[in-house]
Amino acid sequence: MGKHEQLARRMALPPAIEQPNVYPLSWHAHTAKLEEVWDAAQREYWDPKKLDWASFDVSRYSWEEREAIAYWWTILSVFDASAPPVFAAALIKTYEAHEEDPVRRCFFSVTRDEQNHEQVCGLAITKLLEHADPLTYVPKTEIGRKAQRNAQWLYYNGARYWAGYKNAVPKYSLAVLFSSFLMGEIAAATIFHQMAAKCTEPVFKEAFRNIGRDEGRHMAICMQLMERDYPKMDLSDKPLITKQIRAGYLFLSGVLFEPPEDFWDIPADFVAFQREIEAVARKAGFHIPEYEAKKENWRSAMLNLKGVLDKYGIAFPAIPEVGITGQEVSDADMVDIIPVF
Amino acid sequence: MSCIRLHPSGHVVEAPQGATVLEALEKAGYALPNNCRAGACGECKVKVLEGQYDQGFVLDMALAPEERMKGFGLMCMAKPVSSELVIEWGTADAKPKLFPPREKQPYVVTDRIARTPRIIELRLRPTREAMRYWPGQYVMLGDAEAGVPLRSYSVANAPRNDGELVLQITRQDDGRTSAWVHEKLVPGARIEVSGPYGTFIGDPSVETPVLCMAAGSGLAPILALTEAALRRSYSDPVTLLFSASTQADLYDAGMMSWWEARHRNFRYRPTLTREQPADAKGLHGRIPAVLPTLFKDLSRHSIFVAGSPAFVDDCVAAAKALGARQDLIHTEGYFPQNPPQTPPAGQLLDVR
Repeated sequence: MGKHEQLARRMALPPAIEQPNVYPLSWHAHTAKLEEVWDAAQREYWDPKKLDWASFDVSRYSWEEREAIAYWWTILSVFDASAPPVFAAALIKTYEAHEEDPVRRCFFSVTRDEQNHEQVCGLAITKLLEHADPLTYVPKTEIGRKAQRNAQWLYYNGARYWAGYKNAVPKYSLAVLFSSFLMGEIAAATIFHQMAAKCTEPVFKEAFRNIGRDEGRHMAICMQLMERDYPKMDLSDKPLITKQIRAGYLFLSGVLFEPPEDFWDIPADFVAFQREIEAVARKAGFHIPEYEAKKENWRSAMLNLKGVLDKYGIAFPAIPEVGITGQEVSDADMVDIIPVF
Repeated sequence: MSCIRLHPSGHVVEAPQGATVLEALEKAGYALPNNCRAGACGECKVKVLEGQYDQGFVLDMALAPEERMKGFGLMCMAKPVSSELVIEWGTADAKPKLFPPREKQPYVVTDRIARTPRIIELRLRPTREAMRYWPGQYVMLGDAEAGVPLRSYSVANAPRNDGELVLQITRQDDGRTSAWVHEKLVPGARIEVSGPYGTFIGDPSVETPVLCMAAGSGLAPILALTEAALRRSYSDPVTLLFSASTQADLYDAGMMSWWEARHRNFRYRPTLTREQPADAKGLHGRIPAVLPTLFKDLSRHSIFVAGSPAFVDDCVAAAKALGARQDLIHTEGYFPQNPPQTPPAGQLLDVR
């Protein structure tokens, strides 16, 4: 690194700061609704450690059941446990883009909430497996071995996503990011509300309820920002959003539906293993929606997103997998996607 | 300026230009469940009976098209357009709808604090869903299998996110349940709580000075009501008179001091009945006796009284002698053997 030239010796005032940069700082506020959402986030904050984990008696489950339920949490962790760094990156971008103060705080609140969701994944997996991660755990049953093999591929694909996300975030405007964020939040809210409704284990039910409520606020943040920015959006951003929604569908299908093989790099028997594992979890009373219910929930979530994008004249991609017609997108790739959960 | 009329009470709330219905209701002290504040979660859904409003942009998953057809709206985004908007809210006397009580909800005793020689404070956390209740309501505790009859105890805190309940329980002479509480309910104990019961929830629309009078653990519901009011930045004067036998029977003085420091409109005046106060500014004597020395006219005050039935009767009589209006008096005569008072069906929320 070269020695810094001391400009103060020859200039009365410094030159303009090269952007993007978090400096200079300011605290402008224009979007009153976001101040309300921030206040709500402060009011609604909760602590995963204070959920009643003591009521969750894992000894009531067989090892096969524990490994199967832990597998679902492992799937969730690919999406939900990566969310703190994902939103932290977005938070940094809001500073570098000199977003208004309540926007930055709202993104901080999302990052903080997602940290809670990540903790819940970790607490559930650790308690179920009596081990702190699904990959170095020694499986005790055949279901556990299949779950661990799948988990390896889930995290491998997660790593591809993270590399792509890091690459993509600097390239896109915040406006483009918001719709992908909204998509992830709609997907998340869909999952957590259905899990909260059917779950019988008190600690999970409470966690799902809390997480689902958090996602409601996150959706609200995205919607407010879209309402603020989309009417004056750069037209060249619209096709990007359409493509990102298609990519988001393919990526998030990994948790809401089933991972599509042309997008996810997974073995041919991955989905078969997953179905077998989920059947064990269901039988143990851990409610994972069946194939058709997943499909309907996913379709409904996508239609909600379509309702938002239609309002701003942004073409919705075709999602033939759940029967939604729209603009064909054929070049969605994990190397530059930005959907988050 | 539009107005929001609450049905069935007919109470009217003013909605300043540009304010959402939720903002206007909150400003007037009418609570509505809410979370996202921007049309995404659906928690603030209510039925609009008359008038036009701009719903703004909300998600279908928060307000389904068929719900819109039936007249429901999300109040966090709704802004009145017509001069009057009529919405379903609360009961005929403008009290909020109450949450249906549930029996035998599992809780764990997380903490226990001796407040006075006879009063202990228990802190309970739910192991399942948090109980939803209004400040001022009570719960029932006991253990029928162990021959411990159910008794009612007011919740001493406003609702919290983690569902924690604070109960302040006086050991009664010959009281089997209070003895069980004092002897058996140690941190870690698992118990079943039934509730919420009772209708001592105040008047959320109150816009008058407030006088609260409490004795012993009658302070509990007053604490919950006061905490809730101060939390929503209630700006009229609030005076809390607390009667105790001796200095050792005064409790929560620290919290009172904090409230006084935080809220200019809050005043705490303890009075001792069996000994002289240590503080030169302290009061001495029963509340009915000291009341005329503190207030000349209570005709504009909302009055909240909680304690034994005799204490309540005497305080109400003293307040009325100073002009207090019957319709502004709210009482909770603490009588532990009372059966739980479940509000009538029309006053309960439909939480299907």
